[in-house]
Amino acid sequence: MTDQRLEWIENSLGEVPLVGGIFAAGSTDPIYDLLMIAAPLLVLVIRAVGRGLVTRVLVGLYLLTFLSYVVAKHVREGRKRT
Amino acid sequence: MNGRFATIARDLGRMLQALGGLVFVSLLVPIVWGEFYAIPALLVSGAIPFAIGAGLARRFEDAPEPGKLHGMMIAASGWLLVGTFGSLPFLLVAWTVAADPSVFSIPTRIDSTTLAAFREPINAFFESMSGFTGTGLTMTDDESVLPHTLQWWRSFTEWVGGVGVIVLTTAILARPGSGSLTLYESEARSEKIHPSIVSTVRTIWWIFLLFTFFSILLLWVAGMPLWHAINHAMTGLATGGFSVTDASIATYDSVAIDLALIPVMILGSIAFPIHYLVLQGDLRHLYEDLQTRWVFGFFALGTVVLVGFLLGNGVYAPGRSYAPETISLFAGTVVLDGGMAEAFTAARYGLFQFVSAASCTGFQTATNLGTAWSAEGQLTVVLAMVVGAAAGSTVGGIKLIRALTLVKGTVFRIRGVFYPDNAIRTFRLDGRALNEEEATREFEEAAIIAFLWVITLGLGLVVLLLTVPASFTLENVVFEVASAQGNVGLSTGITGPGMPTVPKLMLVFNTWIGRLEIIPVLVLLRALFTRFEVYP
Repeated sequence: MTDQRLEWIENSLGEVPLVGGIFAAGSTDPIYDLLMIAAPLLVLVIRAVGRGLVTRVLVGLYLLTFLSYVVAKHVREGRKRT
Repeated sequence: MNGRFATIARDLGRMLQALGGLVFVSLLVPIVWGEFYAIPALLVSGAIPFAIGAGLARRFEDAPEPGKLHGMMIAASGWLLVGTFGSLPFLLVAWTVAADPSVFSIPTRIDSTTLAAFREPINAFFESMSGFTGTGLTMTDDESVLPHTLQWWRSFTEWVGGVGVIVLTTAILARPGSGSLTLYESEARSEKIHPSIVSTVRTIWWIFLLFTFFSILLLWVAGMPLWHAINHAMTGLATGGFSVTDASIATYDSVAIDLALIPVMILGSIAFPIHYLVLQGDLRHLYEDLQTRWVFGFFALGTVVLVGFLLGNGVYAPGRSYAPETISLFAGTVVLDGGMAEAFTAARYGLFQFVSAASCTGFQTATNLGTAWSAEGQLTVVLAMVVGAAAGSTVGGIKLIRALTLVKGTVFRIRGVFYPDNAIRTFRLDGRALNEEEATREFEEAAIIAFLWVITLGLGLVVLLLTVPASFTLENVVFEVASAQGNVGLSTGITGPGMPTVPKLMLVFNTWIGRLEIIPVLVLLRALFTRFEVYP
């Protein structure tokens, strides 16, 4: 994703009513903001559907995405630093 | 009222308003769980602090802006005040159930002796202070039968208190030797998360919220029911340790849940400015930052020592009452017995309990900690509780950076004897080269805190030894006081609703003074004594 696209997503999230302030307060990275939005939605899905293969896979994917994004961001920023 | 107290009154008013808001937010829980009888109690519990807070904030709205001294006094008095008013939900829900008004159909299971304990104001106050200080010692004898509303309120107090202490140590109490300033002034990390306190606080909230959701999902996928995962994620990340089950984490007897909680507790043990840098894409801070490196090193070393004691003492040796006969792992594909089962059990409980103690969380998996573990095992856990982990995190205790400053500073002073008087020496701490004056400042601060810590620990020890039943041993009492003052919450069984009032109040004092790193409380007491002319 290009930096301009990421910036656009970030700005858009900051303008969301009620919760926009939270997104604006944190990292300037919209992927983290998306992870922030996705987590409570997942909790609601779990509450509605219960423990099953689908919910387990979804949660597993979320956790994996979170961790791999932190590592990927480190690699990307590391390249910029060097 | 003079300017100083007007400023404090105004800011305390704002804190009480915020507390009222938190209680109102919690109204969602009784609505979702259908515990409608708790709604009036919560409404009153929110309205009282909100009204008092609004009155104070309006009356003193023109008071001068707070300085550092105000900050300490506001923090010390604020924690006490929030703890006091935060006890209202416990008290009022308990009395609502006891009164059993006919308009509500209160389930009979709710009217337990556990909830009845909160009809005593001292018990409600203890629970609230334990929550807001992130301690986790409790007045309940069975958390699982509490209404969901109160289970939530207990977890929420710890969660909010966790954010509060990060803000306190990174934004208000940052001073030489506190660790936070070391963190900020290091050349590699030359600034705070953000230059202003307001934006720093908002960012801390953001990180805390993100990690909370991550932890909820991690615990759920490890096998915890959703409601339990929500509560334990909040109290685990805040390193508070309140549980919604009767036997803490031992209830699940699940290796997967034990292992999932360890990273949650470690997240809470690392300074939040480091989390911010890591999320910004610089993982190097996890091993380059002195405190963080020491967190991992201390946890690893302590675990090895504790596991060694457990194995050496044969706590889980085959044939002993707590020894498992066989352990089944990976859906029964791996079965351990005999010596392997002993080693695995010792490693499992040793790792979890050391991390739980050093991170000052207080989750318990080893139910026999206070009864079957040897004195050296218990004292190893005490050491973890006293030292704690990183400054700028949610942990209690003296903090690793201070312990490190004391160790390095002592070596520096002893070596100094062998140098000529006119020698120019530098004290190196976390990659920084400090001159003699800076080194003295850091060393003094760490020494003063450690000294005061021992004094107040001793005070609690004497009071408890005089007031608790003689069946509790000295190491039990040391363990309990260190747990309270380190804001840990592990218990040898001393703390409970049946405890006399004096030791309850003493432990509340220990939790309060421990959470605020002592000095703000002493500053507040001195200011009060001076104000009321107890001494000039």
